[in-house]
Amino acid sequence: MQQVIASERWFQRTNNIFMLFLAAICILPLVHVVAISLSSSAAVAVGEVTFWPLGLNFYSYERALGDPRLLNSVLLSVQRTVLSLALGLLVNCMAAYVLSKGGGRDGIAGYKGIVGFFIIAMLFNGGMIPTYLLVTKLGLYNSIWALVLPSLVNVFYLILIMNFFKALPKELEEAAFMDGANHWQVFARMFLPLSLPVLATVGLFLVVMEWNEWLMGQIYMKGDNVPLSTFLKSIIAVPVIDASNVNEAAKLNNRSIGSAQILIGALPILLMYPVLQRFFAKGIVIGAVKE
Amino acid sequence: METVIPNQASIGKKKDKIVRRKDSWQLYLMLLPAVLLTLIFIYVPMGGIVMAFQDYKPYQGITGSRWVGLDQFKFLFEYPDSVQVIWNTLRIAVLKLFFGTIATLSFALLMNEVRKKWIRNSVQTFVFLPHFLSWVVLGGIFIELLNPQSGLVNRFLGVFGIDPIFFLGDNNWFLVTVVGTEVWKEFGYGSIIFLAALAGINPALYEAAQLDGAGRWKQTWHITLPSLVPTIVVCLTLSLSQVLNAGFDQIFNLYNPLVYEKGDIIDTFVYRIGLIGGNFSFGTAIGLFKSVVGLILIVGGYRLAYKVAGYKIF
Repeated sequence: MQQVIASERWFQRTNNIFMLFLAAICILPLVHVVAISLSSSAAVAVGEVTFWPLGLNFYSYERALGDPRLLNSVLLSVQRTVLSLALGLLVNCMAAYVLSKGGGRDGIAGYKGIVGFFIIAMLFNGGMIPTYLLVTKLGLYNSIWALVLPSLVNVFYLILIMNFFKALPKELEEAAFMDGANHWQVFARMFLPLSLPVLATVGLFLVVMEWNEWLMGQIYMKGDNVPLSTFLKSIIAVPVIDASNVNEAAKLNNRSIGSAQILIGALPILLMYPVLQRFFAKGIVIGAVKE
Repeated sequence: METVIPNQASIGKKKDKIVRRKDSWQLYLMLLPAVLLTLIFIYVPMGGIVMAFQDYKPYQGITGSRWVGLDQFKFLFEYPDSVQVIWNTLRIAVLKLFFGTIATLSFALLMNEVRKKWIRNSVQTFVFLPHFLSWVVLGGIFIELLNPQSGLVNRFLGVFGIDPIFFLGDNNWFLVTVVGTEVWKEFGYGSIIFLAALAGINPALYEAAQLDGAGRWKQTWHITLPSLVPTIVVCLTLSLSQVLNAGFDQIFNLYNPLVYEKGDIIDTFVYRIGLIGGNFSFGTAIGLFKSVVGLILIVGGYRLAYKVAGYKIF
């Protein structure tokens, strides 16, 4: 018995160390980039920087933020995220409310057809090129609506919200209907306030998704009028192995500035992360709830 | 799915006897924006698929372009580059699926054994983080880290006398990098679903096993793993549909012409040759091929998941 306990303790200790090691592997790349962005050019150039800034300075952040294109793209990203969040929540919630009512007395005619309509849209699409041609034909090219409208309806989130609506107690809305409320009132004054947890979860996911999305910015927007992630993509796109880049690497600050730009791009997500972490596990649980 | 339960009066009659609420017009109005947007941005482009059977020229439009039947698809399966790209996609996706599942599952099992709460919480905080960072940001980080001259990884390997490795410039190393970084990004987040399943196992089973003298290994083998089988089966069958999705965001942010041979996948190919190169018809044909295979696998996967594990999305 003594032996079992000893081996158990040994296992626990090794396992704990291994888990902490994994955690370190996940966070150290980020720490390294932070260190580079804050280090002096000389320290970066000789390759001494590991996980702690050497010759601490904020020069690269000043340079990165001094670029008017960066601020411009941040502004566009913020606009796009806010629009997508507000309109996305509204459109998906309204549709989820209707679908949660089914095809019966309180619901709509053609319920099954509508469900099929959305499921097919989730499973199949025309692909990158026809969608691109359509967006340009609609005159949305280089407009913020090209970044917002095509991805506004999200069938996954629609289903998630619908499942949550379905799980709300039937008696509440029956009482409201009895008192003469109509569908819109039940939706806006009862369902939405009762669904704050799921709305927060979906909202956070939407924000992360919109902030990180870069391809639409690349193909639908022109020149410097791009969201932040697309702008970042365009400045990090220089391939590492390009022969001429060896000389460029010798030019001192490029790597620090690049690191600073990367971190500025990741900053909103990093700031949101503590809140995100609390919600995403819940989101998965909500998504798994089925009737 | 909700079924319509006819009320007493309508039993025996046809279903079109349902009397809806007077304000049900509001429902149609609330549904309208979502239906319109889906119609415009999903269904209209589906119509654009006819381009795959044409020789589309922008100035002639879809109505005026020449009809070529299956020529684009013939070309797709005869053109060495596109065949290569299909194989690359399959290879990368299968490798990711295989190593991803093993890593995620092992992590969840080991995490489940951690008793100290602060270790549990802090480890989870860190391993979930990469999931939320975009591949643009991570691409920037890995290009910095894996640089053959100055990157931290090669400096570290240099300590052991290992020559610099061109992670992003050598075809085989690129495969390793793509699979490795994807597993790195997703193993933590992916483990949530397994951890939830593990938390649901009846503790009495373990107590009984301990009384019978089963050690940790035997408990894992005879209780934990069998309890996870449904979850594993569901995850695997559902990811079947992903075998032609090798991760456009990731590869596009990491690759370069040196690694096209093994790193170019269907989506990056469509983007480069179809959209940027202006071969709209050819690009659409490849995209269509991918969508159809994906659709078959999704439907098959859901059916399989339902049959094997009783999993239903609706």
